[in-house]
Amino acid sequence: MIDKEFDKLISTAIDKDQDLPEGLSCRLDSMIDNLEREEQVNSQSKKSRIVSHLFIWTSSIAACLLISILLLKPQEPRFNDPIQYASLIEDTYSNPKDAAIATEKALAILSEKFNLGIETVNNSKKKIEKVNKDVNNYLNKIK
Amino acid sequence: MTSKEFKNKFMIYHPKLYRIAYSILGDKGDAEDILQETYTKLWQKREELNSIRNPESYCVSLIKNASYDLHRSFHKKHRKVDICETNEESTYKIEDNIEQSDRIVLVNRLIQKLPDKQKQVLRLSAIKELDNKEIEEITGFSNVNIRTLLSRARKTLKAQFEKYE
Repeated sequence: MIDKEFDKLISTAIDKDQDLPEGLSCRLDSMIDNLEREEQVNSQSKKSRIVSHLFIWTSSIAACLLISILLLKPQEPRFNDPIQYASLIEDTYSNPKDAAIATEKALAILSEKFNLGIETVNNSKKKIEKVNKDVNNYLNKIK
Repeated sequence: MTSKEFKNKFMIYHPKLYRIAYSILGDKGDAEDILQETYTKLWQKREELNSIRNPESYCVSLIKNASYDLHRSFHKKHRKVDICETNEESTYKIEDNIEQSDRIVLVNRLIQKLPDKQKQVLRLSAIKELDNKEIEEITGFSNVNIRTLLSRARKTLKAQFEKYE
């Protein structure tokens, strides 16, 4: 065989040997697409993670602020001390006589209402006794 | 950089890169693996690659380095086993299948038996997209060395071929 022919044979053989594997381009293409998709998914989950972290942080700060406001708020005075209590109710009546008159009036209204209530109760009691009596008579008649 | 831009910029060189990897590694599966690995690396740092003026030569040097790394690590692990297996197996296959193989298959089998350097230079020289300077860069050999290796490879191949013909 002539050298030239043999060289041609060699180059043909190598060309054939170096043919790209079937579907290599498609595989590489889809590999790049997959890498891009993976990155997008990762970045989305990263974003949502950041948002959730932000939410947790802001809610914790808000909770802390609320608790500290509640704790630091000036408390309402308690009525353990009679002098303090007296000073508080002093505002309604400055004159003790007026206060006594007002109290008497209030008590009179209270007793009036109470008496009315008692009267109603007594009436109801009488009615119940009457009903009982009627029922007993009826039962005796049946016997 | 979107995947479309990336493909337009770097993927167009994949036939050349595959052939370079194959020339160095001598195994189609390994060549494809290293190609995928290289493209994954390129994709991961694609934002840094905007400033690259010559993406083709960048890709070539990347695949060359990756292939040599793999070749070196593979040789360290399997050197002894390889020598025994390739010699025995290829001899057996060649002798067994000469009659039914066509000339191209025979030449390819003979190429497989060539020494690594000769095989590599022969394969690289057959890549149409590669010029001599690039072959020099990939192999690290001088132009004279490359010519010598090529002529030796051809001579060996011819002698072997005539023996089997």
